[in-house]
Amino acid sequence: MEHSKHVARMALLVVFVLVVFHIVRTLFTPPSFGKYGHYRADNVTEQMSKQVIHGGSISCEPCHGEKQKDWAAQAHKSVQCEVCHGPIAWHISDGTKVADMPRSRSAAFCLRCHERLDGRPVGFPQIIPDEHLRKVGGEMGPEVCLSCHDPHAPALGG
Amino acid sequence: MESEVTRRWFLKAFGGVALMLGVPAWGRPQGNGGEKSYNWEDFSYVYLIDVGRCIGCGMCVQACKRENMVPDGFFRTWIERYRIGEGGRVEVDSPNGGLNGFSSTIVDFKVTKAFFVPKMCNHCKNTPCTQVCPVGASYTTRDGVVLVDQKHCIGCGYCVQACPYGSRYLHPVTHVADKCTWCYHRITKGLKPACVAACPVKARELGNMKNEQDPVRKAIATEPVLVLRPELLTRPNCYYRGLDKEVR
Repeated sequence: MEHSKHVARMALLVVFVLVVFHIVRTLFTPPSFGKYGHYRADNVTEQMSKQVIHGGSISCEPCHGEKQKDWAAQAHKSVQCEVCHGPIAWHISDGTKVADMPRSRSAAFCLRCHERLDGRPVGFPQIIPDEHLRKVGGEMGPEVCLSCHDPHAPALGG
Repeated sequence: MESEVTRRWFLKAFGGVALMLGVPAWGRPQGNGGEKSYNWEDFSYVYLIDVGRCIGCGMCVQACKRENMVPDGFFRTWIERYRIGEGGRVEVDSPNGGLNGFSSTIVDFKVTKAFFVPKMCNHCKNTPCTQVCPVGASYTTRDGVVLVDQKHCIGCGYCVQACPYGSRYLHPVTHVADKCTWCYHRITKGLKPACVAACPVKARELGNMKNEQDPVRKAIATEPVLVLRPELLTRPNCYYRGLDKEVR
């Protein structure tokens, strides 16, 4: 038994180190860490509960249903309201209107889709602005497209 | 026989103590996660981009910015324009990530083919970005979405370097890693990601591999599709229809 004192000291030290390790580990490991894997499980619900900004065209229907009927029957029906008007969260908060929606009316905005560019699928309706304006007899202006085309029903005579 | 403290006794005794202290860490509870109405075990998300349909309008980039408050000059999704000419000439541009669309700039060669390629996080099945995270702030959910826990992230930027697709950035205000979440807050409520909803030509689609009727699952199973940089073995969950060899 001449070494038992040493062993006891070593044992105490080991226990001490283990206890300190576990205290530190508990302090630095956030709650819910490791529940599903090597991450904080609560973050999954945090990610899920972020605010939805775009509601989709369906969220415009309660107030603007009439306007939507025109739009939904026309060539721009694949363009959601919020693409040109901005997300609904800018407009409605807790069921009340907080701001006017932006209206993208500029020719520059129209041309984002409809200017003829290399890489744009051939079947997609697109124009070379100068050529188009020469043909129809117009002059380039900030909102020139809207003088002939209604964005909700863009096809002429249709 | 003396009751001597032998080496064997010592190892047994303290091995046992260590094991007891360690057990709570191993015996972690299992659950199916998420909110009551959403069960992530029913989903395995996959994304399909149709290069032939994309018109490069940048509405997806705009919607992503607005939906996720992406800071100026940083992108969770962006569009690249490839213009390829004879003799292997290639011109790639992405003015402000395609946020304001593209314009007809001149290249000094005859363009023989051109296309727009939307890019974003590939949500790889074997992703390098979560592997390098030293604190467990980057992870893959059970429904296959790679997310960043921004409260836990220390902003070291290893994951930003590790991503071979350039899909991550350090947020200039919060100074932690940020990336595409496939709009996890939307898809778990049954909505489409903001980019998919905004696309006027259906060039972007999100699907669920666990739904046998899913059109994206069907397209991936029956049509020729590619992933970006398959040689890296990251196994992306983002598939491309009509991808050219020049696209990296």
